[in-house]
Amino acid sequence: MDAGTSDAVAAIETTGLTKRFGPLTALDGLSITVHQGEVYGFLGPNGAGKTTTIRLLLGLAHPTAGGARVYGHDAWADTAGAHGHLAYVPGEFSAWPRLRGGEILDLLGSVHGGYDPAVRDELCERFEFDPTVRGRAYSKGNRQKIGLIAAFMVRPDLLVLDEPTTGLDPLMEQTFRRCVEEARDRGQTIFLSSHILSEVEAVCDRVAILRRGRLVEVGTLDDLRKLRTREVEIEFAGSPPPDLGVLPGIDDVEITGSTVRFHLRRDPTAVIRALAPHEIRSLDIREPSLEELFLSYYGDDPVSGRGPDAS
Amino acid sequence: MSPFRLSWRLLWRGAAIWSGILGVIVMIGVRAYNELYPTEAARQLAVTEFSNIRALSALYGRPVGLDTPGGFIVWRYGAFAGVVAGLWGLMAVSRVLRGDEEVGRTELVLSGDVGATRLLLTQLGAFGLGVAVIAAGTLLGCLASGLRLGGSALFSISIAGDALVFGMIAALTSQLFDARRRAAGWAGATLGVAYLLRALGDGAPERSWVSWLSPIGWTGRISAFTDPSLAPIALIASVTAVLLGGCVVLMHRRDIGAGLIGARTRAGVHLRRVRSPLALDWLLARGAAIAWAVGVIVYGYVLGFLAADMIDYLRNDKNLLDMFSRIGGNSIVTVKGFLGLTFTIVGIVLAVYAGSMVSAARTEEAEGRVEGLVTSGVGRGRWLGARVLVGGGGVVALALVGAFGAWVGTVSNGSSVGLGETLLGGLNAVPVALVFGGLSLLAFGLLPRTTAFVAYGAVAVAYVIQMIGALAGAPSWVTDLSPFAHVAAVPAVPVNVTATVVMLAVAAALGLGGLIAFRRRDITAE
Repeated sequence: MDAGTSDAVAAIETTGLTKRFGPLTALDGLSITVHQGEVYGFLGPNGAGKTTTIRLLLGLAHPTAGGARVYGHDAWADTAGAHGHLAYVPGEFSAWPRLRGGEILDLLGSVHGGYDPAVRDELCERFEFDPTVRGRAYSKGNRQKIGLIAAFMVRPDLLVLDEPTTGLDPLMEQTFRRCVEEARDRGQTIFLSSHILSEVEAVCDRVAILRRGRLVEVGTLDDLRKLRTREVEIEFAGSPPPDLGVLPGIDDVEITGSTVRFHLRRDPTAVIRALAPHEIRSLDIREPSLEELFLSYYGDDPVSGRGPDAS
Repeated sequence: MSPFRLSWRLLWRGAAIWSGILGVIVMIGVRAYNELYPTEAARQLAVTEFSNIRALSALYGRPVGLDTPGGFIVWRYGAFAGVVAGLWGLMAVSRVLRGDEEVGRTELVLSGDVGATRLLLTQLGAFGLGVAVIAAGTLLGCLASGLRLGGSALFSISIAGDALVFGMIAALTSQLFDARRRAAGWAGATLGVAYLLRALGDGAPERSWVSWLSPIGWTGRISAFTDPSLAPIALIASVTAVLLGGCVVLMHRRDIGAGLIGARTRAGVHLRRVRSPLALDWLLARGAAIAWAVGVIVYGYVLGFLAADMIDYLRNDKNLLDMFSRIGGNSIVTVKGFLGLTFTIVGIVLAVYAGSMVSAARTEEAEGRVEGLVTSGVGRGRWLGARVLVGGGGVVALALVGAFGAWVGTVSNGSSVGLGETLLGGLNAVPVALVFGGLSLLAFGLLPRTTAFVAYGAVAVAYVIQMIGALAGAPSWVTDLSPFAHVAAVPAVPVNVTATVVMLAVAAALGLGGLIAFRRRDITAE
């Protein structure tokens, strides 16, 4: 389902990446590929294993099985090589209480191998960030800006962002989205773990959905939408034909008087053909909204009912 | 969970542990006293001799009723137990009040139907219960040793008094400052000043009023077993009440999460250059290092100054000589010997410092500040290495300034001792401190959540084994278990090269093991 392979080495490649904490399996055999230059969304409910995946990518934790490569460098065995390509923004940036914002930016930028002060100043201005305050005095949103500015200002090949907009106001979130778009335009790769669907929809080229430590879906948003069931409602002029339920890809048929409702899981050709001889008063085919799409993936039991199909 | 139980959960372990330690110390002390001074005549001799040593009065307190085991225990361990109880009290209260507020738990509770005043009283109520636990240990220790009930109860109350007063001072500083460390730090500074004032007052009868300026001095005046006085207890109760009232008033004058002091103005800030892990660690460690340096200089100076006085009296007393030689060998009866003993205690202080540096590294990790550096290309080895360098450098620097303070003190009281040999004596305390630093690093690498526990617990256990073991007449293989037992009393005797090399090797091996384990484990935040 990957969108074509390129000759260049993958920005991120995981094979059977697994992490267990005692009896708990936090991540179970994750295999994904993130190509250079794409914006890759990483979605999943709380506890799905998103942060665990990121910690494994960063070499902060070692995999129980499988492995991850960042620009060809093994994330655990060759962290130095991997870190040379990336910058990371955690979900909750923890600032040194006694250091001022500007000092923290300088520190992170310097150990990363240098940065352009002009870029830093421009980012501070765009994020409306005051670098003269001590770490302990920043609000949650402002602490988060330190992490974002530090990551964007060093212009890394790969940005690993773990729910980076936590605590940002909507205006700052717009700024963040523009920064992501500019980064992509410069050819940087972005790995964005997020809860916020609109954010993912706005910036991501491809999306992976994680649930309970397992990958349930990868694709463009359009791909994902097409995979989902559509809700069809037909009102017949007479009584509805009895044989609709046997058509391929149709589920949950519900008949009320002359109205039939069902879920359609594939293209509607067969249904249209079957309907052709009948007189129809109204036909309504509804696409699932993004929210419904994700709720169905996030739900407790993805296999039954309207959950995702394994196909 | 109710606010009371929430606070109690944070308190009870420390209270139970220190309660037990204090009780055991009392029991061992009474046993040692009965062994050393079995007869009435021996006890009278002890009275006359101890009572005349000003330096001992400054160290321990006014010698009252030394002819009874109870009086001896109050004199010998009262101030120490008071300091321990006071330290526990201020750590516990700053943790329950300011610590909870810092992490936002207080906000949660207050958003329920609990009012601010009631919450404060509930939290302090839990602390009060902890104080009772601390006192109970001393009481049980006294009673188990066969001391009188009345005196035992008063002695326990005096220990409780120190815990209470310094706990309430911490309650006040928790209103003033917006960070737990600063609240505890300022309350701790008060405790240090209180100890010094008591030492000044008790050390010289002509200025004994000075000890009335110190809460530790008050509890020292209760003289639980001989001719007890209740006035200090009334004083403690009133001061506690005043501090409590002050806390309630101050609390209503500030925002939740903020302090009354600490909102510094931002005008004219200049940003420092912090561009490497080493620069960062030095910046983080600097404030604490200066405070430690002041502490060891004062300690060295005071003991150096007292050295000559002590020696004069010790030389004349066979009994005392015997007792002290069990701790430090015969060379103790010289100024250099006394300095040597002083430096072995500096070794304990430095071991605590080394542990605190490693423990702070764990705090950095637990609060999620290591990830940003490590993923920016610092590398785990370089990050921890910088910290080891700053911590190790701090140990060496503290040893040197402590020794320098001791030299100045000794010389200013008319004794002659070389600067070089005194500094060597200070440096001789470094390897043992590094052993404990290495042990803390190993804990940090293998079981990071236990770092602080191992760092401080190991020093406490080793200290108790060595000091108490020697007094109680334990076999030498027991006392030899403590690394502190292998620190030679330089400058009285030459450096024990074998022990030094072994300790440095052990420290390096432990530290290296910790580093390797750290590089192999997951980085965990809390």
